[in-house]
Amino acid sequence: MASADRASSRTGFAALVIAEAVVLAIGAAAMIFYDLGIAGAIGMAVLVAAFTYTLFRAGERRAIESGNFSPAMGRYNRRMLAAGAIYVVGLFTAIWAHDELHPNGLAAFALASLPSVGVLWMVYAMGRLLAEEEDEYQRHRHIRASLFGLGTLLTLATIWGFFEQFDLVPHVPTWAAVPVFALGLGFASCSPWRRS
Amino acid sequence: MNNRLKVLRAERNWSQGDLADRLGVSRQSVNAIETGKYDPSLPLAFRIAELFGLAIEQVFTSPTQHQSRGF
Repeated sequence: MASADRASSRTGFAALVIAEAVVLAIGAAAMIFYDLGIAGAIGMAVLVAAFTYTLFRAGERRAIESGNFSPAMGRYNRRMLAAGAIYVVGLFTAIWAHDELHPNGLAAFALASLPSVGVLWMVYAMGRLLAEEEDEYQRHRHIRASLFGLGTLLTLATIWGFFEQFDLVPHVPTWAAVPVFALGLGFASCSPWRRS
Repeated sequence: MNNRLKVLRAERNWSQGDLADRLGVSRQSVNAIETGKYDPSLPLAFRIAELFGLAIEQVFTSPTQHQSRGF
């Protein structure tokens, strides 16, 4: 692929990310400042799902065009999309059932576990990517990014934990572990490693 | 670890993508190896050398030799 085409593809992808971020920010602001009810929440979830799908597709197309696509990454993307959808459905179901049905005992535990299913599927997808990636350089980058994500999580959790212990910061729920790990992983994936 | 990948590729008029396709790796991998950002595993280094019909030391330079020659 010519460098001019690659630059154009990069610009198109960046424009898509910015456009979708703006629309989502407007949607989020509308949800915060106006009571849009369940219809608004579902609409927002559909919007997020549609945008996530288009971003995944655009990212995949870009990788294919630049000769950097791997089948393992394609499977990873599809697993993450499925896991994201399961997470959203699980979370909404758990919140609705908790508020409306007020379950107790085992049913309450089962209900509270529902949002975890999608997140654990994401963890599974990350593990499968490392196992299935046949391109050794790509695998090397994924491992480095995962270690960076883990380091980020351990560092922030330790510091925040002690701050919390001394009543300096509010409590953060432990489900934040995966998003923090994913943020570290994402940051590392976007940073070009200077040397292996 | 230094290598002659860029020269060998240019001699055959191959792009990074062409070489990546022949090796069955991503273009990003070829670029990383070529620019010295990533040292390939021994099996991949052998595959590269075999593709060019050369011995491995004719493609990759030992880091210790590289230093002792005062490059």
